[in-house]
Amino acid sequence: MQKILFIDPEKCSGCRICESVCSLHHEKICNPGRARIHVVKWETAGLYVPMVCQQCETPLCETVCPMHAIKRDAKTGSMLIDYDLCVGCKLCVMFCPFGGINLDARTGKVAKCDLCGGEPLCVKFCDPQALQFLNATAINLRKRRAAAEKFSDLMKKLLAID
Amino acid sequence: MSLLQDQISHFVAPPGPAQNPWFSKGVADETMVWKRRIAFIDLTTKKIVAKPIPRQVRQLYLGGRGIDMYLLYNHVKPKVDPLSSENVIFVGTGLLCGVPALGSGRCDIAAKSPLTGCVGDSNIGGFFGPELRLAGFDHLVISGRAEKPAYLWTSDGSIEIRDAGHLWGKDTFETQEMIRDDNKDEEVKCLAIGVAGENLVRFANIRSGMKNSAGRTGMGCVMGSKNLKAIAVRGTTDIEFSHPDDLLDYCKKMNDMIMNTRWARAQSKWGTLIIYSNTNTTGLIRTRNFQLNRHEEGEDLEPENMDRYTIGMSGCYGCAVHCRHRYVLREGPHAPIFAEGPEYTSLGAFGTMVDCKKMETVLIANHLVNKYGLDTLETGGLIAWAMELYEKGIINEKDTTGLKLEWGEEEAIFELIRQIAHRERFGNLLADGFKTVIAKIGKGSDYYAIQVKGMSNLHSDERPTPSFALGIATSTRGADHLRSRPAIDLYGLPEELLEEIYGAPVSSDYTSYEGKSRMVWWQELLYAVTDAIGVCKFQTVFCAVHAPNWEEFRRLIQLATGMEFSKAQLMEVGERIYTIERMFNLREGFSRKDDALPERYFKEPTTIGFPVVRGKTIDRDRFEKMLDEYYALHGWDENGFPKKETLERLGLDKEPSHMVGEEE
Amino acid sequence: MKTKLYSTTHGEESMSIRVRVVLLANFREIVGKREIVEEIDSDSTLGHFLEKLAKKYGRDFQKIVNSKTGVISSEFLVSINGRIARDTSIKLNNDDVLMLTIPAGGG
Repeated sequence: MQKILFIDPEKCSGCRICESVCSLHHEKICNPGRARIHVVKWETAGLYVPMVCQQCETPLCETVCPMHAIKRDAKTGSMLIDYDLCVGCKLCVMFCPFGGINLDARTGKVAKCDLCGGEPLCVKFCDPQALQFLNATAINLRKRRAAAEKFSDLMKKLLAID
Repeated sequence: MSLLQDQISHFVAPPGPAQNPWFSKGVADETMVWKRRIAFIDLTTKKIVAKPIPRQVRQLYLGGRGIDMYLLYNHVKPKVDPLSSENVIFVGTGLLCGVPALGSGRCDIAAKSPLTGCVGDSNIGGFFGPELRLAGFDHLVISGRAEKPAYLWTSDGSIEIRDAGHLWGKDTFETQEMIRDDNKDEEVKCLAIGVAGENLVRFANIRSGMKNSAGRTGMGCVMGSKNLKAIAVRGTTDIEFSHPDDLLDYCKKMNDMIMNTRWARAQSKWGTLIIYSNTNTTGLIRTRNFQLNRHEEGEDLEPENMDRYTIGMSGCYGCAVHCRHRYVLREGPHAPIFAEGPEYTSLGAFGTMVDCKKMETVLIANHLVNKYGLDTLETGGLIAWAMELYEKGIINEKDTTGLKLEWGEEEAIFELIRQIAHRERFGNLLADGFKTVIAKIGKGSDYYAIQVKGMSNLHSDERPTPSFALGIATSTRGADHLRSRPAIDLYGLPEELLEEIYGAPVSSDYTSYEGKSRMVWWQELLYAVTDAIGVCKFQTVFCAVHAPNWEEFRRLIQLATGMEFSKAQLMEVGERIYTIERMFNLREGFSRKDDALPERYFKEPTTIGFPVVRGKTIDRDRFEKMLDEYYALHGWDENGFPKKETLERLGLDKEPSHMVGEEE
Repeated sequence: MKTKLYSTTHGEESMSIRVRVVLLANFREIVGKREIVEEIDSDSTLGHFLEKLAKKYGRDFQKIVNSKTGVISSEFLVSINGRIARDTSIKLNNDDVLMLTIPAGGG
């Protein structure tokens, strides 16, 4: 099974290193606005949510593209844009429910997460592990264990176990 | 075309990838950092001029605090009143701003300080710096005074002066939210003052985000004196680096190196509060202003007591350590509070120095000072001093206009913070800072003030640590722990290692005087360069001996900008920055006699703590000898004046040289 | 100073001393207490004492001494009555107060 870029907003520290390394890697410059991942913040509530293409199973971007320029990459499972076919109609930008596709105001082109060919850089750089690259089984187990730990703390208190 | 439009057209590149140098892939040549502009904004005439930053200035001063200090010396005439329109505010991003490592987004703000009359300078983290650089500006020079409350709106290549009437009177949180709403953009970053800055409290700070502050020396007061409520920025242009792929690899290496250490792990979990564990246990903490050197009842202030309030850890731009708590206070008369912090400094300001025993007191006070835009340290330091004067009967309830300033009285502290911010009653007196208040109260109140050059010291008790004591006496901005604090002195490192780092023997005993002047001198140069490149001190030798310093800085500068510096050349940049700061202070009338410690350091021995720190004072003769050695290391004479050969070597004999100004 | 007198198997008299340890950072997390008081032989060195703690609490306590060099690891900070200790052959005395922590500095 292919791995999935999994987001855990509770762990995000809002440092935006993911945005800088994404733009530095793909565009060779640093510009968070041109990164394919963006940390959405509600500063006064302390909520930080990294938003990136979800590499949907039934991608709306693929369905809506009139040039069939968005296709699944067999190796990584990510949806890739074929720039030879893309005409910049921006329908994919409009239809993605996650804002997963960037419109680059300078080039007029669209860009999206391509999982860096299978070794996503944002995941490598994310120390708090708010971004992880895991297969589905691992994701399920981790979420369940994390939730179970909260129960376990509570149970320990109730049963007065040290 | 207007002058401003002329500047913009030079600056914002036309669209189209083919001709557009903004997005050429591959290695950009070393000139790309030269694209960043310096903007001169005259609030009186409303004239705005943007200029390139000369390459020579970059090579001599790098950026951030380096260039700001150069500009301070050149653009602020001697003896101006810091609250007059003749003072100038300098805002500067670091040379390495934008690099995804070492918390590279730090920004330096400078002016002549209304608190001390000497170099005013403060460093701020968070996200303002990168946004300013993304908008195409690395430096802002703000002079004159706006007729009515105003704020600067900066966007790609352009700066406007906008009306801030509706923002005046708002706290630092509301101000930023309203500016975002006005511009319908949640990504706008702001530097803002609160009511304290508007009321010209001499230690008012400048705030950004929930907690980031340019805290010290009253830079918020200078903004207030110019009727400048905020500087807002939104940037979407590219930041190019010379060697982007190698830079990425090196950044990964840096971040991993740091996050694999115990101290970074501890800081990422407990924040800067972890420092308190060590220093208070040992007995290096001011308690009851200066009466004790350990807070014996401060258990609740220890880091694990944050667990019940914290909801996560936040990080500044480009920082893997994320050392800042986000916390919620749900119960009690001051709830609900959502805030960020507190830092080690606030633990002292509203905990140990004022003899408060609860973490909750610190959390509430921290939020209040952030809201009003007050320097947490100065506020706490002045309140602690006032409490000691009250205890000793030098001031009474009449002087404090009814406030019972008893040790640990948290409601009195919260009320006094509010009074200071609004310049009401007793707060109005304290709002002018130590120099003015000491002169007004008299009655020997001077003796109890723990301040140097008019600025409060941190809650650290330096009587057992000569290196720390020398550092606060010689700091160019007044009593300050960030100009040189050689924290690694507390680690008892092997003397061979210390000699390797500092270039000559330094004692591994933190109570010793041997070699400590060299330690302080070396750290001053390192931190000057740290602030000039805009990275976070917590990811340097400030915290740990094998942490990034000269070699890592050299490599980063080379990969990011293409500029080559040897270690010796980089140290020379540090010397140049520190010496030009010294020159500014000397020009304002400061001299050796101001590089002094409060009398209590010499007269009152420490009484508690671990045996090795008990019974300690600073030995006056040995202090003076350290000062002589320190001046000699800097190439200054016995009065602390730079010698002719030093000025020539550093190229400072031509100052003021006006290499960058509106006129050229 | 003597606090207790008891016989060893060789019939000689031996003494024990009392040492207090302030636990900080990760050490406090492991033990769950701010301070502990331990009784050890009067001729104990710092090294002996740390070995005893390592056996009792395991985990990071086992890493305090660098097994290659025999001195205190640079990852941790150990002080005796406020003086930083590197050399594990230091003899401990009655009522010594140790601090076990990590080197956290700054300001």
